[in-house]
Amino acid sequence: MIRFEAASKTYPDGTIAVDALDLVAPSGQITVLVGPSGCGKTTSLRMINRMIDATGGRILLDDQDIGKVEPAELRRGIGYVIQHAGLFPHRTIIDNIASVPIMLGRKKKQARADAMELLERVGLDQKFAHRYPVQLSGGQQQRVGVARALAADPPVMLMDEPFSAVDPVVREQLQDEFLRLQGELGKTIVFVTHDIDEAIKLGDQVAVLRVGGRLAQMATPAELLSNPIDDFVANFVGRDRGYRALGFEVVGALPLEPEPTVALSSSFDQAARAAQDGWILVLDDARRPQGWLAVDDGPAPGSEAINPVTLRRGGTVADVDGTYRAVLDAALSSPTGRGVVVDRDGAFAGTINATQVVELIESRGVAS
Amino acid sequence: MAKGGGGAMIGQVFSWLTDPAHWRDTALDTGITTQLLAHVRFSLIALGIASAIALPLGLFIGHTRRGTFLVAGANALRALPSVGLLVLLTVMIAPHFHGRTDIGYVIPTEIVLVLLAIPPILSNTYAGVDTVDPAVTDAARGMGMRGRQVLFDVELPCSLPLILSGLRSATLQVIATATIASFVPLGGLGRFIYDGLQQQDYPQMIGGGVLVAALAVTADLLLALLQRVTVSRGISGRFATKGDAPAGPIEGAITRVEVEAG
Amino acid sequence: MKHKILAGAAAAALALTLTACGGSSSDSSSGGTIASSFIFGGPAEFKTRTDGIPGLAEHYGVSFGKYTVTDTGGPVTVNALKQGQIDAADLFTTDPSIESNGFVILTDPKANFAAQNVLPIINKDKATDGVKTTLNAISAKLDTAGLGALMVKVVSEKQDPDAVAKAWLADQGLDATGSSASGVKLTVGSANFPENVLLAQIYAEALKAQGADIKLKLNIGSREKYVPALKDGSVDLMPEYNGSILQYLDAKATATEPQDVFDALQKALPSNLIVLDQAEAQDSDAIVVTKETAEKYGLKSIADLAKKK
Repeated sequence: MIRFEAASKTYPDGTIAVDALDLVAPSGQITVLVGPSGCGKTTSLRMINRMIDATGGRILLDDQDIGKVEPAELRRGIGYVIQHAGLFPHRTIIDNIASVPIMLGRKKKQARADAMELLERVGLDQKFAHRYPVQLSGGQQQRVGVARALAADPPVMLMDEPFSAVDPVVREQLQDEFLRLQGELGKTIVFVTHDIDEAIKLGDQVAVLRVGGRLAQMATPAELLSNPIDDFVANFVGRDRGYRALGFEVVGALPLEPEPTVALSSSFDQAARAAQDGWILVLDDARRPQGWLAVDDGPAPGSEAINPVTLRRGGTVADVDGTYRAVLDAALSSPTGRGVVVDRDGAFAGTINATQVVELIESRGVAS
Repeated sequence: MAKGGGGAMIGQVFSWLTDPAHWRDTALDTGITTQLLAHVRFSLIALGIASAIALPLGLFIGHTRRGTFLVAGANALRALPSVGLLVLLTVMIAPHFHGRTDIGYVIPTEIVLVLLAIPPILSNTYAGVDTVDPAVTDAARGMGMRGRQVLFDVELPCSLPLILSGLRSATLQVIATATIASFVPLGGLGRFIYDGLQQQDYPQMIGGGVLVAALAVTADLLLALLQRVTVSRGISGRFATKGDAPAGPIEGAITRVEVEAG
Repeated sequence: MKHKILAGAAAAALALTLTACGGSSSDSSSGGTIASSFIFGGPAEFKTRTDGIPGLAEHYGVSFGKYTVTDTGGPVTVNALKQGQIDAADLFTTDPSIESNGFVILTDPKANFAAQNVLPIINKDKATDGVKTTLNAISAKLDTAGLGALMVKVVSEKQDPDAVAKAWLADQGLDATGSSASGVKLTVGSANFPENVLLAQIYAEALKAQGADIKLKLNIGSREKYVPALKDGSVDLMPEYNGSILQYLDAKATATEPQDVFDALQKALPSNLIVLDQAEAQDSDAIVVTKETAEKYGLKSIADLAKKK
C-alpha cells in the first residue's frame, strides 16, 4: 500500500507542483492519477520512487517512510515504466528485460531464461529475444518496457503514461493485455495518464488532480461518472458520461438470436437462396464473420461465386463478453439492424438488435 | 634539382618510396622504417595522454552536466599555432636536459600534440554522453542504478560512436601534425618532408608526405575496425539481413482490426 | 568480449611503443675513429654538399657515427651541442654563440670548406652605376673580424640591427648623403637569420643615403623562399655568401678558393641576376666542438677526428 501524507513539492523558484496531497493507493489494485497539464500527477508518481524528493509531508510504502530508505535500494523493489519505454539501445531485448535481476545478482543464464518467459507473457514472440530495441515498433518496445519492470517481480509498479506514445489501435491492445496481466499478477500499481477514458478503463480507483497539485476527487470509475464532486471534475470527465459509462460495463448473458449464414466458399445461388430479407451473413471456414452480402449485388462478374468485394464490412462486431456500448454499437452499425456477436474464439455466436440492447440497458437500473 | 612534369615526378616519388636503401638506417640517414616507428611512437604517446585526460573528463562533464565551460575552453585550443608553441616550449625545456637523450625535445613536442588532441576527444565524449536519450537514463535511474553504474553500463556504451569518432579525428590531427617534430631534432616522417625541402630533393619531400598520408589512412581504418567491433549493433543499426531492419509501426499490430472490419 | 578487445588493442599499442623506443640514439662504431663514435649535428643539406660530409670524408677521412639534422647554424644546433645530444656541429664562423659558449672551432688546414665571401646579389636592371658604387664601397670595407664584432652587438648585446648598421656605416665613412642612386626603386630582402638581416640593413641604409627608394622585406626565410623571389623580381637585392649560393644553384660545383667560386658563380646565375664585388668578410662553415670534448680527445683540427680512439 502506498500512502501520501500531506506530501508536497515546491521548487526553489516558488512553483508548487504538488500541494499537501493525501492519498492511499491500496495494495493489489490499480490507482490512476489523472488530470490536466500542471496538475502534478507525474511529479506525485516520481515522488514515490524518489526520482523527485518531496519538500513537505511524507510518503509511506507499506508503512515505511520512503524518505528513510536509500533511493537506489528503494527503486530496485519498484517496477518503473515510462512513456517512451527507455529501453537500453545497446542491449538485446532479452538483456533489457533481465536488467534488474542481473543487477541484483542473479545468474545470467537463469535471468535470461526467466526473461524469455516474461517476453511471452507480455505477448511477444520468442524471435524478438535477440533483437535490439531499434528493430521494434513503439508498441513492441512498450511491451518490453513492461516486461523489464516485471522482471524482478516487484510488489509495486509505477507507470508514467506508458501507452500514450503509441497509436490508438495499439494502445487499446496494450490496455487490454495489461488488464489481463494484472488479473494474473495482482500488483500494487500507480498509473499516470492524461486520458480520462484510459483512467476509467484501467483504474480500480481514480484520483483526479487539479492544476496546482491538489486532489479533486478520488473514487471508483463508476462513482466518478455518476457523482462527480464539482464542475471541474464533471467537465474533466467529460460529456456523454451516461453513454460512456455503458462502455465500461459488461452485459453478461446476451439473448442472442440465431441467424442463417453461408460460407464464403459457397456459390452465389446458395447464398441467395439462404437469404431472408435480401441479406445473408457470410462466414469464413473458421466461422468468423466476413460481412453481410446483399443479394441484389449479384455474383462475382463472370462466375458463380460470391464476390468478396461487395461484402458489407462496415458493421462492428461485439464479443459475448462485450460491454453494453459495444453490443449497442454492433446493432446500430449493422446494415440489417442485427448486431453480429462472436464468441471468445471469434466465431459467430448470434445476433442482437438495438431494441433488445436498450431493454437490457434500462433493466440494469443505472440512472445517468 | 629534378625537373619533370607531374608524371615524371610521380615516377620519381614511387622510386624513392620503393628503394630498399631508403628503408634502412645508415650513419647519415635514418631510414623509413625507423622514422615510421618514431612517428607512430610520438602519435601514440600524445593520443594516450590526451585520452587519459579527455575521456574521463568528458564522461564526467557529460554525466554531471557540470563544468561545460571546460569543453568550450578546450575548443579554443584548436586554434594553437603548433610550430610557434613548439619553438617556445623547446627553448624553455630543452636546455634542462643533458647528454645523449631526446627527452628535452620529446616533451615539448608531446605537449603540443596533446594540446591538439584534447579538443576533439573531449568535445565528442561530452557530446556523446549529452545526447543519450534522456528516457534511457531516466529508466536506468528509475530501476535503481547508481550514478557510476548509469555512466558505465548505459551512457558510455551509448556514446561509443561519438567517442570513437572523436578519437579518430584526434588521431588524424596528431599524425598529420607530428611532422613538426622535425623542427626540433627529432625523427618521424616529417624528417623526409623537411629535409627533402631543404635539400631540394622533391621525391623525398613528396614521399614523406605520401607516407604521412598512408599512415593516417591506416590508423583511421584500424579505428574504424575497432568501432565496428565495439559498438553494439543496437546503436549502429548494422543488421545481418534486410528483414532485420527496424520495423515500421504497422508491423506487429495484431489483426483485431481486420476481424472487426470483416 | 568488447573489453577484451580494447585491452588487446591497448597492449598492442604499448608493445609497439616500446619496440619503437629502441630506435633513438645508437653509435655504430665502424672504424674505431673518434669521429665514428660521434654524433654530428647540422642542416640537411650539409649531408650531401660537396664541402659537407662528402668533403670531410675525402679530405680528412672523417666519417661520423650518426648524423642528426638540427638547423642551419641556429639555436637548435647550439643547444644540442651544449647539452650533449650532439658531439660536433656545423656552425658559422661569425656566430657569437661560439665565443659565448666556449666552443672550439676545429681548423681546416686542407681548405675543405669553400669560400663564403659576403656579396650582394642584385637584379641586373637595378644595378645602376650609382648603386654599384655604393655597394662595392661597402664590400671593400667589410672584413671577417669586423663582421664578427657587429654580430656580437646584434646577438649578444641585443642591439637593433638598423642602429648597428647605421653606426658601422658612419664609422667607415660610408654614410655620406648624395643622389647617385636617386630614382632607383629597390626591394631589399634578407634571409631569416640575424647576420643576413644586418647586412641587408647596411645595404639599405647606404643606398637610402644616396637617394634610392628602398622597400625592406626582412626575414623572408631560407633559399627555397627567396631565390624564387629574386628570380621573379619581387625582391631585387640580397646579401649572399658566394660559396653556398653557388652550391645551391649548381650542386656539382667544386670550386673552393674565393676567386674560383666567384667566377663559377657568374656562370651559374640566372639571366636576370648578377653579383657585385665580394667582401673579404667570410661567414663560412666551421666544425665546432665543446671545450670539454676538445680537451678530452685532444682535438685541434678536423684531421684529429680521424685518429683512432
